[in-house]
Amino acid sequence: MPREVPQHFTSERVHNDMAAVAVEFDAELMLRVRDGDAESFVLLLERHRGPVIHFLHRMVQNQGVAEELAQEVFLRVYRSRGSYEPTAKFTTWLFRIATHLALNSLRDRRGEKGHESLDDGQQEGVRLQVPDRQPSIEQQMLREVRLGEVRQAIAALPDKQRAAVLMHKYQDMEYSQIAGVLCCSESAVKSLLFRAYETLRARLAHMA
Amino acid sequence: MNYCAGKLHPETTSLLHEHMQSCPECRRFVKAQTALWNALDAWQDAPISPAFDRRLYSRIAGREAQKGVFGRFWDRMPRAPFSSAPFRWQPAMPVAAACLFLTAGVLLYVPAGIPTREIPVENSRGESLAVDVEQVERTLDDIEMLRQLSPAGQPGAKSATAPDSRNL
Repeated sequence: MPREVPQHFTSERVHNDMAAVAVEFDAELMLRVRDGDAESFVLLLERHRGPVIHFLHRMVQNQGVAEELAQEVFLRVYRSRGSYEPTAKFTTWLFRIATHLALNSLRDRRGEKGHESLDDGQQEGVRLQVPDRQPSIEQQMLREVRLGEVRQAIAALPDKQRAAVLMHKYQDMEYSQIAGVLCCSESAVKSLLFRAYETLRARLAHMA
Repeated sequence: MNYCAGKLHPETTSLLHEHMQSCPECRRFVKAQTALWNALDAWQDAPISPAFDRRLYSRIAGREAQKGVFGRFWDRMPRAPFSSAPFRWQPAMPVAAACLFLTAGVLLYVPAGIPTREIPVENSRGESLAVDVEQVERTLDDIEMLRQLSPAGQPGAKSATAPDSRNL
């Protein structure tokens, strides 16, 4: 009689196995890029283009700047192919580059324009949202207002807290991986996230 | 936070459920965090420009073309011995270029104090002329060549084109 395996254990194990396969696949692709295989770079770009651009968009709140930064991220990945060693998870390395560029860009823009960018980003974000099936004008307006509030609340977070929240909420990253990206300990990440969510809960309490 | 993200282990989730039955504070916290989690879902992914890949590949191609043969040469340079880390040649390039520039400058620079090979000569009228030695040598070589090509071909025959050395 076969031994019964708890459902959650099986699904968790499958999930972990799939994650491990994905990690190995990314590293394998990057090693092939290192050996001069251009097709593997195309595959890597296919897999990570979306997450990187969406993360950068939420970080800098400007789609044009986000895409420009994402270009730089992938350009750096391609440039570093010769020295790539699969010591860290590929996505950790990738998001470390992306976060570094985003934080630099935020610092530069803050120096140039002060806080004006928040309003600009809000307008752009509203314009870029894909409409769902024929919402009424009231629904659309309500959604835009809520989106604007969410964007402003996230934009008002300190840079590191913002990066941690975006990776945790929208990129579905583990604490260990976020710690790897932000070059800090897991407990520091938990602390960052706790403070950030606490602030967001207070700011968006009326939306509950 | 993991509970709201759906990342909590099922066993821990059921323990938390049990705990929340008797803890209003935790219930409030979970409710607020779940509401926040759902509110953050309002921010959907924005569409990506269709030209993104093309722009990236064109930038990579441009960079590769810029590197060209010289870049490939640097790529194939040997690594630093006894070192596992790859040796970076790129920082050495500006230094090498600066050294090359300085060397070229030193070699091409002629200080004003160094005498040239011009020598003062007086002509028959007593006028002082500065004569370049190299020019004189070249002229003498030309005279010698014309002498050899002369139809008379006799030693001592005077070429019609030979200048009068007394006028020098």
